[in-house]
Amino acid sequence: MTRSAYRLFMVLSLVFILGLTVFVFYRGQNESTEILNRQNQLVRLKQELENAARLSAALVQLDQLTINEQTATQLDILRHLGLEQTDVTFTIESREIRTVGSTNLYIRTVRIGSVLPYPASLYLLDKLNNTKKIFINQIEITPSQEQGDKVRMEMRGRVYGLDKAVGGIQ
Amino acid sequence: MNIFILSRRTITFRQQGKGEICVLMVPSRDQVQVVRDLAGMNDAKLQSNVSSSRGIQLSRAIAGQRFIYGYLPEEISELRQAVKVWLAEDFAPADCQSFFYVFSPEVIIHGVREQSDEGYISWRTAQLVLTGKEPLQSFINAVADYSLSNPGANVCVAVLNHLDLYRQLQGMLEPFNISPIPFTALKTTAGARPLYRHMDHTIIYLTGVLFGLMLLLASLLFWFFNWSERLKLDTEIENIQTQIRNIQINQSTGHISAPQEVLDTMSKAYNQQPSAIIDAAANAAAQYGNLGQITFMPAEYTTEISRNPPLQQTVRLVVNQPRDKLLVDQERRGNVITKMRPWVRQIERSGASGNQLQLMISVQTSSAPEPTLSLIEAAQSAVPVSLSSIEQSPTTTSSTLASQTTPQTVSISGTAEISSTTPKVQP
Repeated sequence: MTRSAYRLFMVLSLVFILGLTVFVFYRGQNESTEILNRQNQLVRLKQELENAARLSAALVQLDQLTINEQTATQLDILRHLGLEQTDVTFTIESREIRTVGSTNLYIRTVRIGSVLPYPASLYLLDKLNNTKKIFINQIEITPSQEQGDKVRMEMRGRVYGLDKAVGGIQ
Repeated sequence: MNIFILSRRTITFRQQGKGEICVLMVPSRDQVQVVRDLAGMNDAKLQSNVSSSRGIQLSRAIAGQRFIYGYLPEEISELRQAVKVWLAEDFAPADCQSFFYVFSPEVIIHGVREQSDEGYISWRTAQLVLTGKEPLQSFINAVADYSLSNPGANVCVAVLNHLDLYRQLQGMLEPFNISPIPFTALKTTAGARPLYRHMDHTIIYLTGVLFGLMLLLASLLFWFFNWSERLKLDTEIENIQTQIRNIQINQSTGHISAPQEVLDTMSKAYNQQPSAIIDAAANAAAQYGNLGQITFMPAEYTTEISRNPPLQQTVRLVVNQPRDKLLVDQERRGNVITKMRPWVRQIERSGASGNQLQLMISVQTSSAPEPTLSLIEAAQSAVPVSLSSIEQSPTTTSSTLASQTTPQTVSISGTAEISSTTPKVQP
């Protein structure tokens, strides 16, 4: 290879390599910019995921703790509380509506009475309290007139209801 | 040593290898031109002004005159090796009047020093091409002729890289008292500059290309790591988007825009089992007599108002046929009860009618500090009392209730007080 041809070849090679280097470097810089965008998007998506999860959990919890106001019969309330197969006395004392934002929250004050042995009464009390579907704000335990070790327990509490759409989980 | 001999425009001798090439120019006398008006121009300016299709001009400025010796063949200027073009007389020793450069038995350069009337010293050089069966003998004859015609003249004979030829000439020239020297031992005249030179730029080019390749490699690594990082982020984003898509929104309550606010509005259940609170209070009250009635109205709280549940819960109890008639006895019993049951925070006598005693007993329910050792022992020694029958003795126990009223759930340190809402109590 002659001197001028070699020089031309090397100069062209150098220009090609430097051009390719600049091109690749700019591609790398574009990738850096994309990384920053992706990181911002990731933060936004994580926040969105957290919000969605929190919203979903709150909706599920709300669905579990409240009855459907559109089908709120006494039996439905007993089913809601898991008392449909017990011989407790159940009375709805009052019903009021409280508006939270754009949501109507229906609050029923109910009275539940039972005549059971003392341990069974307390078990029933704990069971109802653990469902968190009723807030018990008064408990009264008195001796029962019946024979045996039974006591009379009167509970007064609140059951919450919401206007729910008919359907399941999507 | 790489030697080219350039005569007129042709290369008449070449000995090429690696390394720098020395080109000896042997111009014919009629080839040399003397130009006065170009005197004083440096070589670079001259080359730019005198651009010729014949190639690069080989010239030298001497004493205000520029001597043009000819043009460089393209073959030499296109050599990648370093090249220096000298005149043959540039290698002549300063004290010699004539030289013979023997490059091979057939190729010999001969030069004779001349001095003009003006005192200007020049060299007449020529390339001898000896043919015949004994070219060396012809060369010896030429040396003999010159020595005989110029007695006392200093003659330089230089031989290029041929040891046999050197020894042969050494013997043949001995009668003329001439000792040949290696051509490589000759140095150029001080101050002489080559007619033409170019350097070997291969290393520079290779270094540049290598540097460029290193930059390219660094850029490639920079791009690759960023690209892989972006791919990783893309995958993570896709996973999160999939998770968001997979989150199931409850359709029954999906229309509620702010479910957490609704949840905060709703009253929260207390943080202890109500049976434990009731039984703890009943257990304490049973020490006073037969229990007649238990009324528990839990302190209500919502997240909307406060995120902290109440620390104490108060149970109202009615005791039939109290054992102690005197207030001081009731206070003493209260002290014993609170000492044995540290979770009982307060016992308040709220009233008495006939044979009944009404008590308000507060029980600690949360935010309990670490219990001391004595309190732990007291809690372990405490036995929950069953109220299986309120009418029966309060010491009757129930295993079912006992499992729900473990003292750990309501234990707390502290002192209790006995207060009376009535100024006087009839025994």
